[in-house]
Order: sequence, then C-alpha cells, then structure tokens
Amino acid sequence: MAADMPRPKSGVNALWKRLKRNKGAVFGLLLVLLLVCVAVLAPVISPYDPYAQKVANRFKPPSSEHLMGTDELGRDILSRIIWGTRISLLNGLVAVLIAMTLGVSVGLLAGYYPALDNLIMRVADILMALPGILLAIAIVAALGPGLANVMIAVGISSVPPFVRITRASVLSIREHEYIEAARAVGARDSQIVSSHVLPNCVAPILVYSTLRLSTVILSTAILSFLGLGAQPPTPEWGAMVSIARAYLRIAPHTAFFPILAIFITVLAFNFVGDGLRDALDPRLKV
Amino acid sequence: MRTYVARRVLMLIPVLLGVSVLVFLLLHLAPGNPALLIAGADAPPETVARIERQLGLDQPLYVQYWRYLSGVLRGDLGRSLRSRVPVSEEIRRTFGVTLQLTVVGVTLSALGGIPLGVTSAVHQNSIVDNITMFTALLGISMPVFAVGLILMWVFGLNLGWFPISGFKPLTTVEGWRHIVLPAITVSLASVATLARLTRSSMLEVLRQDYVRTSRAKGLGERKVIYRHALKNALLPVITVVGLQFGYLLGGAVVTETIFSIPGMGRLSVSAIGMRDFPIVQGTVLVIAVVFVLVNLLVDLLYALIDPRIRYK
Repeated sequence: MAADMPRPKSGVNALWKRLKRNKGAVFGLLLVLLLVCVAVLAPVISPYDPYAQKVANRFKPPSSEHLMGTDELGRDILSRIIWGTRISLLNGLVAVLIAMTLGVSVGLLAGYYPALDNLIMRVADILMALPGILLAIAIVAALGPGLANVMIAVGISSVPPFVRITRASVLSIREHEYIEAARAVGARDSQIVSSHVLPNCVAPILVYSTLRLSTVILSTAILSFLGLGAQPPTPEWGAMVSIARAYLRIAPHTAFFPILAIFITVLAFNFVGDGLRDALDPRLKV
Repeated sequence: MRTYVARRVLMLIPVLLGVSVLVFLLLHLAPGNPALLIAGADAPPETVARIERQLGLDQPLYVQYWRYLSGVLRGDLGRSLRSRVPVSEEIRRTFGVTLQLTVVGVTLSALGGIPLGVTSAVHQNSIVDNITMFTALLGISMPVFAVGLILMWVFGLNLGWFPISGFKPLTTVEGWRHIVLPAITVSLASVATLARLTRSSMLEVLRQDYVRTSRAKGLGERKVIYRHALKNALLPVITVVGLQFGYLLGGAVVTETIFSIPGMGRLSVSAIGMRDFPIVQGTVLVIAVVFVLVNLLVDLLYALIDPRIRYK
C-alpha cells in the first residue's frame, strides 16, 4: 500500500514503519482492505439482487443456496450484507470527513489565534456536554430521519474531539523555532498554517480519524436501528437488525448476520486505530 | 477547596446556558417552517397557525429564546404536542427509571472494568492479560443493540432465566430480575473501556520511582500494588467513570427501546418518530444537565482526592 503512494511526510512514514510491526494492526488493515473490496465489488460478488423479494421463501435458515438464509420478505441476507458494506463504509467515511474538515479548520483557528481560543473551546465544551450519541440523536431529530441526515448528525457530533486534538497539536507546534523563523522572514499567517503547522499535526489527526471511524460506523448503525437512519428497504445493517428484532424468536439468523457484519467492521477499524495510536504515542489517550 | 468549588460551579453557568441555546435551536435547525413540519405537510393552514402561536414562532428568535429560558428556569418545559401533557410531568414519570438503569450500569462497569484492568496490568503480557484485552476490544466493537439482542436471545428466549421486557421498581426481587439484562447491555462497552484505561494507567504508575522505592524497602507485592500503585492509578479512571455515566445515558436510549423499559430514552425516541419537539428538547436538556452535574461532582471528588488539582 505504501509503495504506490508518493513519498509520505516523515512523521507519517515513521508511523507506518512502527505500525507494520503490530500484528493486531496489520490484521485489522487486511480486514479493512477486504471490506473495501467487498464494498467496491458488491454488484459483482453479491449472489442475488438485495431487493428481490420471494415471500414464499421467507425466513429460510442458512443453506447452500442462501449462505446466510433469507429475511422476512425472502430476500437473500448475504447479498444485503454485501451491499450494506458499501453503505456503512461510505457513511463512516463521509461522516468522518465532515467532522475532520470542520474540526481541523476550527482547531487550527483556536490553536493559532489565542483571541479565538477561549470562545471556540467554550463552544466545544457545550457540544461535549452532551453524550455523543445523544447529540447525534438530537440533530437527527431536528433534521428529520434519513441516511444523509444521520451522516451529517454523526459528523457534527464528532467535531469537538477533532477541534481539541488539532488545537493541542497546534499549541505545541506554535512554540517551535521554525514557526518563529517563518514569521521572521515575513511569511503570512495562512502560509505558516498551511505549510508549517498543518503538516505537523497530520499524524495525530490521522490516528484519531481511524479511531473515530469505528465510533462513527457504530453510531450510524445505532441510529438506523432506532429507525432514524436508513429506511426500509435499504440494506443497511442497523436497519436490518431493527426489523429482525421482531422475529428474534422464530428467525434469529436474520439478526445475527448483520450484527456480525457491524461487529467485524468496527473491530477491524478498532484494531487499526489502536495500532496507529500505539505507533504514534503509547501514551496518547483520546 | 472552597474557592475551587465556587469557581467550578460558576463555570457551570455558561455551559448550561449554552446547552439551553443548543436545545432551543434544535427546533430551528430543521429546514422549513417548524410548525408545518410538526403539523404535517398536508395540514390545514389554521392548524399550522395554531402551532405557530403555541410555540411562539411568530416572535423574533431572541424573544422566543428568552421565553424558552424563563420557562425552563421555572420548570416549565412546554407541553407534548401529541398528548398535551406537560413535558416536565412526562420526564418526572420516566426519569427515575432511566436513572436507576444508568446507576446500576455504571456500578457494574466500575466493579467489572477496574479489577479486570488491574489484573491485566499486574500480569502484563500474560495469557490472562491478552485474553482480557482481546475481549475488551471485542466489547467496544459491539453496538449496544447487538449486545442487548444477543443477551435477550440467549438468557431470555432460550434459557428463560430473565424477563426480556418491562421494568419493575428495584425495591422488589422482580425488579432486580428485570434489570439484569438491560444493565449488562448498557454497561458492557463501559466495562471494556474502563478495563483498557485502568490497565494503561496502572502500567504507567507501576513504572514510577515511588513504586520502585516501596519495592526496594521490602514491602510485599500485594501492598505495593494495592496501597501505593492502585490509589494513584485510579485518579484518571475516576474522571472516565464520570464520562461513562454520560455514555450510559446515551446507551440507555437504545437499551430502553430494546427491552421496552418505560424510561426517558424510549420517551425521546418515540417522540422523534412523532416529531414531538418539546419532548425531545426536554429529554435532551435533562440528560445534558445530569451529565454536566455528574462531571462536576467527579471533578470535585478528584480535587478532594488529589490536592494538586485545586491549586492549578
């Protein structure tokens, strides 16, 4: 993976070297790679149409014909899980990108301009006064249910930690002599931030983004489970479990496989995130 | 200590005001006219106008906020748009249930997570440590609803050991039987988080000079660990227990829905489905206030245990 990339910045490069030695992280990385392949190849590898109903064939337990059985409308669960991989990964990625873009910009402002720092951090405190999932629920309540709104809500509720981490890195970078030197030769603030400050906070932000991906995928699944996210018949894992819940007694497999899918995905990102965190700094706790 | 307490309590005011602004704005975040949204797109104009008047939506925003805030301070959170019952009454009816579930959950996570973390740290890199940490990683990778459904399926539907729905007061044996599965559900991720945190905090402390000193002066290993190391290792853990309280309140929303527990979480989820904004605002506000207060208590406790904090 690293070979095809343009030569990374030294911080990231060192991180990658240390990461390679962590068995858990490599395992997680392979798992993530596999999930990405499943998501990309969904139309090719899924054995059935995830929406095709065959009511006569409902609640069939796993068999050679349907490896994960069929659901309450006779749809092939494996195909739905495969398509669901796409939804979950895309969702997670978009939500983290939203959080990262907003959080890093605001964090840079807070860290670089002491005048803004206090105000920004107080607002972050207020957002953090709500447990993350509850903040997301509240935002979805306002925007209305739906997958796109869930992405926005989960993204926004993940902004404060990004602000904090970016700010903390900027605060320590700001004191370095090379910043003073850049200022002495007359570099503008925007230049200093974009070519000296930002590249040096990439590592912690990257690590946190990976750790956050697992949280975000969990939150999205939870909101969909509560009926606030993906609506039927979308093959979203949380939504699938939500429906399967009603048939737990007669067809537990309809709940089991989507749960397994969420679990494996979140576990994969947790492995990578943990490994990255240890590689960056064993003491870093967020 | 007194100045520290006063300062921390004063710092609470802007945060709580901010939370109230946030909760107030929830209604206005929604695209379009909130009254139309609440009434439904095909509602007659009279209904929309009535809702507008009832919510004071025809007033400028700051007037609306001022009204909202002065209402909240008097304990008036508005009325449910569906049942017309005052929101404060709905919350009073459900708050105790959620609080009991959360308190039992937090207790369970502390009693489970901290000893697991200590054991792991003391036997670092042993089989016990590896198994515990691997299980903990599995624990934080499970969504709350998955834990709930699996417990429900195994211990409720198949083994029939515990009831799978409803709530009874904890003063009865039946009450405790009802809360077993929901409490484990809501606390499992916290047990895992606390175990991981306690372990790393303990490992950090065990490397300190004073631990080496106490070993050097011939103290037994047990005394070193429990008397000297654990006390210091628990400091950061206490803060996180406070934070876990908040996560558990969030998790309670899901758990209550799964186990049909008549608490504040289920109230708010069903209110979202019915676009019953005053209920949603009320429950979110109450949970935020509880969370903020618990964190304040934890911080004060922290300062009480560790005098260094007070003089910062």
